[in-house]
Amino acid sequence: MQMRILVVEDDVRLGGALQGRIEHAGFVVDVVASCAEAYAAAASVDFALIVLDRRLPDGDGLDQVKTFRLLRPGIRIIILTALDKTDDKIKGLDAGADDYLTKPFHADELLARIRAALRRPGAALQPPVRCGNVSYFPDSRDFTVDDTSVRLKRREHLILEALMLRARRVVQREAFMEAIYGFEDEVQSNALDAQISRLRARLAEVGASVQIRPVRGVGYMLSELHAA
Amino acid sequence: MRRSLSGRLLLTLISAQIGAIMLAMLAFPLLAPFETFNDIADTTFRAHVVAALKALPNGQLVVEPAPLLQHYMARRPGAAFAVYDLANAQLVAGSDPLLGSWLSQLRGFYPKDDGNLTSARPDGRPGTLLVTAEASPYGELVIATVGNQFHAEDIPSVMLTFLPAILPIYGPVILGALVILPVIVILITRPLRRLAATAARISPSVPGVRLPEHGLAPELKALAQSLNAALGRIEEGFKKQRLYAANAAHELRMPIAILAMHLEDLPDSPPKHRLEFDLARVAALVDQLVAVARLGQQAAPMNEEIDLVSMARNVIADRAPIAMRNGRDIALEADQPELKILGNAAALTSAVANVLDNAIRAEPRAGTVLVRLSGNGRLDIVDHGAGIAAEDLPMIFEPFWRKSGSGDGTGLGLAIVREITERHGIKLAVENTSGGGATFRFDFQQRVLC
Repeated sequence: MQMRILVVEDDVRLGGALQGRIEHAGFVVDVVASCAEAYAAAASVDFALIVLDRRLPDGDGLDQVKTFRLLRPGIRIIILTALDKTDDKIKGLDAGADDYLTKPFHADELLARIRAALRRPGAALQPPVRCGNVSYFPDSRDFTVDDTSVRLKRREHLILEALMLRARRVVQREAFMEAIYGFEDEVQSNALDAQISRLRARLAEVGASVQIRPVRGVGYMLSELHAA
Repeated sequence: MRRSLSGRLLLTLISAQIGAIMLAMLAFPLLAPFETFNDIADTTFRAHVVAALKALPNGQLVVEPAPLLQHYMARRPGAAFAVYDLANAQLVAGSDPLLGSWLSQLRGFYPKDDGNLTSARPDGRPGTLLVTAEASPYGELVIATVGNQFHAEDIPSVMLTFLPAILPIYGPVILGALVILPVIVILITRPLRRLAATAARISPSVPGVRLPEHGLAPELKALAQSLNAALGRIEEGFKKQRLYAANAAHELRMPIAILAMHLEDLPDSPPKHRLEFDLARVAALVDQLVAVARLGQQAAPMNEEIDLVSMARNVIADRAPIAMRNGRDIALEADQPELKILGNAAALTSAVANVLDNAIRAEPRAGTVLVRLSGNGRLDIVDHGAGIAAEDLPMIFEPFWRKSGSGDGTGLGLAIVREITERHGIKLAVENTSGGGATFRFDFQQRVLC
């Protein structure tokens, strides 16, 4: 079953755009425009996550967070706001929101945060992330190429995982370092490049239609092969 | 160029002084011991007579008909002269006979030391007879003249006659005027210069500066007060405009974000990539406007700790996907893992981002824009495009400047970049990349945290 996400946003255009983007990522999305509608929707449907705007015609979305938590104890809540003062963020998180995103935001960032919020214990199944013919399943942390399961060495697996979660965006070297090597040992800076080139060879071997492009001095980016 | 106020004041006062003194000098001869103004010409007459003197081999003197003397007498029909040689105790040849016999009778009784003796004419005609003792190359003479008439050519004689008498009186006055007046003028204009020095510090980035009102003369105080009131009103309007710009820019962000999301839903294609690229520029520009407007608010923190290396990495990471889809690479070369500086993070980030966006646009297909960071706080953004023409160099940081013939861009980007760098005291320079293209150089040295 696909996960349902509720978007509470009174800006019709933004709501529509968000719906398109989130559905594109494999979720089912409902959009409502007020606190009252959101309450009614949450009471009847078991949403996995709510994307909640703060400024709504009938009040501050923040005040509804507790209501949603009572209604659906396991629900994840991401607050959207144009107020980007740190105080507001703290207030939002203290009110029980899982995450906080300042308008304007990149749709990919919202998706990444949705995935992150759903990854936490107690969350339901997450949809796969796709790039080219490669799919990544966040819950089982498995990869498939053209629906065939692919097994990778531990470090190559961690690298591809980091790349897939931020597909078509640049993953900085530091992010890899944390994901792969943790904080335990001193790592040679060229170790990552060696791992990447092994991963490239492995992906080519299994016929993956993706490429890992270097951004010299910054990191790497995963994208579909056809996108030049 | 107009003369300075002090200069004009001085010039006027000194000319007025000199004018008054000249008038006094001119008036002086009129009050002098002459019966008529015509007698002033006597000095000229006598000079001509002395010039026409000649000594004969036997030691006797004679007045020869020299041209100047003849000319003088020709213009004055009644003129006549006589010269008495004191050394030889005889009348000099060439003297008027009647005047001569009158003068000869005077023997032993004549004015001494440049004095004048006046008398009625011996021939009974109207006019004055003037007798003057005069030292000449030929010894002490007594010269008598009649029938003088004042003509323009006698003006120098007037001066020569009276200057020695007048200078000792008016000279010190003129000298005093030349020395004391400038001192007075400098003292009086000092508060004006103080006002100017304060006014020089007034700028939108340093609000609250006002002209000093204490210790000013009432006239200046009124001026300073009304200027201060005007400054207050301007500052208020400026603040409102800043706030408006900040809000307007902020409001623009949301529609841009929505547009970006719609765009991402389209299938991949070169036109989509170009649109994404342009939209990213618009978004960056709006971010800059917000950043600059916030810098203008006093609350904007200017001493946030920023790691230049990770700032550069983030800016590049943000732009690399779109640039790469459009066939351009971006690379970072940093000679150390981190470099801390102080500044406003949002503003500096958007300044670097804007220059990088320009570089990506200038970079030819399949090229690589290089971001180079060196330890002394220098950040170079190097592209390999057409470069900047020498005649365009002074213009590129002006608002709404665009490369001629280029239809894109708002022309605001670099102007905003300059405003941000100026507020931080960061130097920003442009030079041509060797082998073609432009290199923008931020010099963060002043802001590097040690």
